[in-house]
Formats: sequence, C-alpha cells, structure tokens
Amino acid sequence: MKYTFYIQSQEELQSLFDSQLDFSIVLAPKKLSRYGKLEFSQCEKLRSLCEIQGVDCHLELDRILTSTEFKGFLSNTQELSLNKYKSIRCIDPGLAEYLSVEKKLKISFIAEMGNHNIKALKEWEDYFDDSLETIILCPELDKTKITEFNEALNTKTELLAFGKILLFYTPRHLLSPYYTQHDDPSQKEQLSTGFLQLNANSEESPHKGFGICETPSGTYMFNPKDLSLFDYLEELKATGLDAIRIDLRDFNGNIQCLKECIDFLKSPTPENLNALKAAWPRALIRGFFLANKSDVLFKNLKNQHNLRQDENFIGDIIETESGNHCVLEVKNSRKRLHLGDRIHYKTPDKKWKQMELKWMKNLKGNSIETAQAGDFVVLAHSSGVSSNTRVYWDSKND
Amino acid sequence: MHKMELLAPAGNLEKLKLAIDTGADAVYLGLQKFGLRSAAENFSTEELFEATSYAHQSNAKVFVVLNAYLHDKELSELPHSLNMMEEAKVDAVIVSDLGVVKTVIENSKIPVHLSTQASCLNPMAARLWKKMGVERIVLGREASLEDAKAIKAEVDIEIEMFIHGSMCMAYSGNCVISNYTQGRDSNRGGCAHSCRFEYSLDIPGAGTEKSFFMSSKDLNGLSRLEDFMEAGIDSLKVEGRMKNHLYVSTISAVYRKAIDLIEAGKSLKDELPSLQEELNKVAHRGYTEASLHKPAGSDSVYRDREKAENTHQVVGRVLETEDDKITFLSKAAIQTGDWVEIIPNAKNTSGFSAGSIMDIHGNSINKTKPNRIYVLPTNLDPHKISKAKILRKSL
Repeated sequence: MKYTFYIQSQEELQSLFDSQLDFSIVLAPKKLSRYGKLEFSQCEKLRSLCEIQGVDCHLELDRILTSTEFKGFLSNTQELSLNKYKSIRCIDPGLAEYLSVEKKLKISFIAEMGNHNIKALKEWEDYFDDSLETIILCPELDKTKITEFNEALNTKTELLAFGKILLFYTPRHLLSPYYTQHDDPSQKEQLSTGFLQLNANSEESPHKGFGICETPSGTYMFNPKDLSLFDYLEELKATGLDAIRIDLRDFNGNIQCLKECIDFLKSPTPENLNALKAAWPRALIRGFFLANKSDVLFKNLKNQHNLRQDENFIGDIIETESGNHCVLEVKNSRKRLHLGDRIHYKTPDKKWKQMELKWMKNLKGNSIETAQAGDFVVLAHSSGVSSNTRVYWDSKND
Repeated sequence: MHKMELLAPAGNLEKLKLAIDTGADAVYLGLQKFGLRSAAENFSTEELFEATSYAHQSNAKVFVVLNAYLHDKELSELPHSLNMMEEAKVDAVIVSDLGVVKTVIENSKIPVHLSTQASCLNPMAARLWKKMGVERIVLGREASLEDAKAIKAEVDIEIEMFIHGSMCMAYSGNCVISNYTQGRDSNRGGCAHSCRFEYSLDIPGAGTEKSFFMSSKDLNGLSRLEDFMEAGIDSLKVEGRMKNHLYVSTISAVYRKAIDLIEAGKSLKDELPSLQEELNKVAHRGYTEASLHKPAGSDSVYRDREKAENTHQVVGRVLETEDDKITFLSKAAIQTGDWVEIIPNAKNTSGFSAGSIMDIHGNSINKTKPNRIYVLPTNLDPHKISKAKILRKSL
C-alpha cells in the first residue's frame, strides 16, 4: 500500500524524498483546486523535482465547474504541463470527460460524493477505461465495503486516512462579508492571501470548533475532529487499497507533523502514533471506517407506526369529538365501506382499536349505508382515537 | 413557441392533486424508500397508482425521485420497485447516482432524469450523462441561465432548472454535515439542515459574531421567466415536497399564470407586481435570484433565524362544497367576521367575510379550532366555490 501526500513546499517534499517511503505526491494549485495554495510555478517546480526522483506526481483539479467557469479554467491549465503529471485528479465528471476523452490524459476520478455501490464504481471504471489511473473512494465507506469494492474493481483505489474531513462546499463567499476590519493585521494577512480561515460554533450543535475556510473558489466547512485511520493500518492494507492519502495541509510551514507522520509510517508503533497525535493540534476520529450506520436513525424521523399500509386500508380520521363522533375520510378507491364492516383503528400513539360499523352518516347528518373514496363519514367515537388515526378493514371481514 | 413544463412538488396525494388542479404540468414525488426526504409523508404503492391515474387523466406527468446515494443493499431492492413503477406508468425517475441510473435502464423502460444532486453544471458533464442514458438533466442551482443556454446549445438533451423554493447552500449532494454531526446520512434523506443553524464566528481581530452565515435565501425566478424561455429551458422546477398546501397551490397557480402569459406572447411586466405579491403570501426565507443571472453574492444569504415570512396562512382544507357553503377541515383559527379567500382563484374577488361559522351539527360558533370540521356559508359565485381547495386568510 502506497502513501499519497499533499505537498506545499520543497522542504516537505525533501522530507519525503529522505524518508524512503513508497509514496506519491498530489499538488493542488491555488487557481484550479478547492483549497490548494500553490502557484502554477510552484507546481511545475515540485513536479520536476518528483520527476528527477522518479516519484509519481498528480495534479488536483477538484472544483465543480459551471459552463462559464469551465472556459476560464481550461485556459488557466495552459500554464501547466498537464501531460507530465501521473494523473489529473478531478471530481467534476465534465472535467474528467474533457481531460480523458478530448485531451487523452490520465485521470484519477474522485468518487468521494456518493458512489456507495459497486455498480456506480464499475460503470465509472468501464467508462473511463484506460484513462483511469485511480478511483478515489468515499471516506464514509466502512472497511467491509472498501474490501468488497477493491475485490470487484480492476483499477487502483485510494482512501483518505489522515487529515481534515470536508463537510460542506459552496461556491458562495460566506466569510469575506465579516472581514471588515481591513486595518487589523490578522485580517489583512488573510485577505492578502485570499485564504480566510476561522472557527465557528453553534449552540444548536453539540460539536464545537468547525473550521471554516474561504478561498477564491468558495467556502468550505470542516469537521471539528480530523480523520485518523492510523490505528487501523493493517486493516487498511487488508482491504486491498492501493494507496492511503495523508492531508496535512492545514499546517503549512509546520513540518513537525509531517516528520512525525513519516516516522510512524516507517515504523508504525504505538509510540510513534502517540507522538503524531501529540503533535496534531486537534482531536482525531476514525469516522465510518469500522461501520457506517448512518441510516439507522431514519426510522425516528417520522412515526413508523403511522405509515400507511395499503392492505385493507380504508382511510384516515380527520376529526374527533370525544364521546360523540369521529369523521373518517375514505381513501380506498378500489373498495367501498359498508355498514356492518368490522374495522380497526391504528392510532398515532400505537394503540389498536376494533369496532363494528353500527351506523354511518355523511357530513349533513344523513344516515348512509355505504361510502367510497372521497367521502367523509361520521362514525361513533371510540376512546383513544384521535386525528391522524389510520383506519383499516379487519382482515376477518372476508 | 417553445413550451415550458411547470414541475411542482407533491409531498402527498392531496398536494399532488392540488398542484395539478392549480396548474402544474408535472409533479414529482417520493416513495417510502430511495428518496432524500425521509421525514416526508411520501407515497405508498397504492397512492402512487392513484397519483399517476389522477395525473394522467389531467394530462399531467408524474416523476418519482430516486435521488438518494444508494448503498448496495438498497440498490438491490430497486428492481422490484421499478417493476411496480412501470406498472403504475410513472413518466420518469429522478436519479443522482450512476449505479441507480444503470439499474433503472437495465431493469425498466422508465426515462431517467439526472437529479440536481449530481451537480451537473457544464456541457461536458451533460454530454457524459447523456452517454450514460440520461434523458433530462436537472441542473445544479449554481448554474446561471447563460450556463444553461450553453449546455442546451452544445448538447441535445432536455434541461430542467429550479425556478422557485429553498436552496442548499452547498453544491447539492456535496454536504455531509449531518453524517458526521448527527449520524444521519444527508444524501440518503437524513439532512438535519445544519446550514440553517446560528453560528458564532471567531473573526480574526474582530471578536465573535453570531450569524446565520450558511443559510440561503429562497430562490424566486419569476422575474427571469422570460429569460428561462429564451434559454430554451424545458422544465421549470419548484422545490418543496415538505411544504404545505398553501405553498403548493399558490406557487403552482402563480407560475402557471406567468407561463401562460409568456406563451401567449404577452409581457409579464404589468402582472409581475401582483404575482410577486402572491408569492409573498407563502412562507419563505426572503427571496433571491441566487445564481440565475450572476454568481450568488452575499445578498443571497438569509441572515436571520428561520421564521415564517408570509402574509397569509392556511385556514383549512376544503372537504365539500355546495352552491352557497363550504365545508372545511380547520388548520388555523378564524372567527366570525374574518376575511377568507379561496384557492384556486387567488384574488380578493374570491374572498368573503365569514359571516357565520357552524360545526357539523349545525351549531353556530365564533372561533374555529384546528382539526375540526366547520361549515362556512358564502355568497360567492357557485362556480368559484365548486373549485375551492384551500381557504386562507391574511395574518
């Protein structure tokens, strides 16, 4: 399993050259990636250093582009030797199409949003075919899925193993309206780089310290805790991943974390991992690597007991007057309701009530013997029955 | 003359009928699985059959949303549901995941529309999705009308754009806040709307400022309708499967009227103020044109706690009508003397004073209570009364 590192300086690159790890490099240019900080000239310089050392170097162009942005974006790429990078990493299928089909370049497809099923991944693999260098898998996948996917795919795969977790990405510039103290040195410095960074907290969320970053391409929100799967290095290898990605970019200029990281990867001992964790300024989590159960709470979003079951469904109670009457809206368009039918109520608070229809009236107070879809039927009230109670035929009716 | 489809949300069967009755050419709805609105009522199998039957009798279409990012297990359950959808004569499905696109194509003949969740924003992406078998693309809301026009010019594919309703601040489908903070997959129906929260921002050199900095205003593209037409947009989509009856009926009626005017070769200019006034009557978070004309700026952010910014509210749902009275299920209180309006026919001329209110036993009452049935005598034109679906009043 190879290591993929983002690099922002020659010093960082040299540390990796010296490490003797099996690694590749990703370069993210300021103008063409989401929150990369490299100028084009730096990209080209770092790429050429990789080339000399025989290290694979990928270029990240991971923005989503409108038609208008697409043209300007392509003209900017002319400042880079695209064909000299091992692959171009992109998330926009339009850009992937352009680079692979029209420019005949190798791409690495970022399948980090969605793509939680093998069918989607296989289709991308088939479509991009020989142009596809790597598929970058979604960080929300669990290890079982990662293993299954790796067994089914013929393309190299990569997964984020250490770094910030991107939660949110918008092209709108959400922070700059708050940077109004232009004489303040800290604001001035951030404004001059075009990178605004601050922390946000919400009393409506139990999580504190969301990192927010605005760059020329938009605004990004990060999880307060960063991802670390380094406790599961052997399990990561066992999934069949070809590479894990390490993103230390938050700490530009602080090379200590990179050095601790290299030490750990060279010798993955608990001591070295603890040293890295100690150097890292934020808490770390394992994300969804062990299990992804992010659908189990859906059943709490609405009253499951009160979901309409089609079999034997008659309609819904829309009015009740305790001890007096209730009004049923008949909704079954295939079968009529008849006097003498045995029905049961399923109340929103999970009670079941049964009764026989001994009388029925319409809203004008006239007695009726039958009712159909669209009718409103006044019935005897049954205790515990409230509005939104579902009404079904008792299966014994037949 | 280019015909534009008006596509309205249908949170349940009642709202579907209301949307169609008030002017929608097509509606979109969710089933109990595979969509992005787990909390919505959604449709059972029988309701889907009833929905397509009702819609097709009115020459309207029904699209089913399958726009969650499905995991393998859910995807394996899809073919069975597709058989049911074909049997129900669903007109198209709205999909965001490539695995779902291919599963639909391999297991049915139902046309596939690409969801806005896929954030398709440029001609190259549109071309790729067309090769994948998609027949219509719902553009991401970051696309301008010029962007849409460019796609339409370069790719022979149907284009659908949102014209009205709530908006994600993030690129749709590119937000996982709920996944990590609530343990609920936002792209499978568990969105907790964290972008609507108030946040304290630690602004360098300026201390802490509380703000709803990530909350988007609602899209309102009414005044750009002629530009939609000129760009060749095939379908105009209204967001809001979770919205109430008043919203569905008002928005459908307003945009129907506006589209009809334009298609009749008339200018929208004279009618625009009164139509905008109608749109202000339903709950919204301030209005913005977002990116329709230029990239959404700071004025597109709704810097306030969510509250109902509306001038009117629903009084009740009409159950039965006779020549001189309306029987309705109350949703909000009215009292004798209140001015009540009926929908459709959203004009003051369709209003009347609640001279007397009776319960179903014929007893006079002064003030209504929610979830109770009442009878309102009225001297309105019986033809108008017969069409009434909703009653509303001003706040």
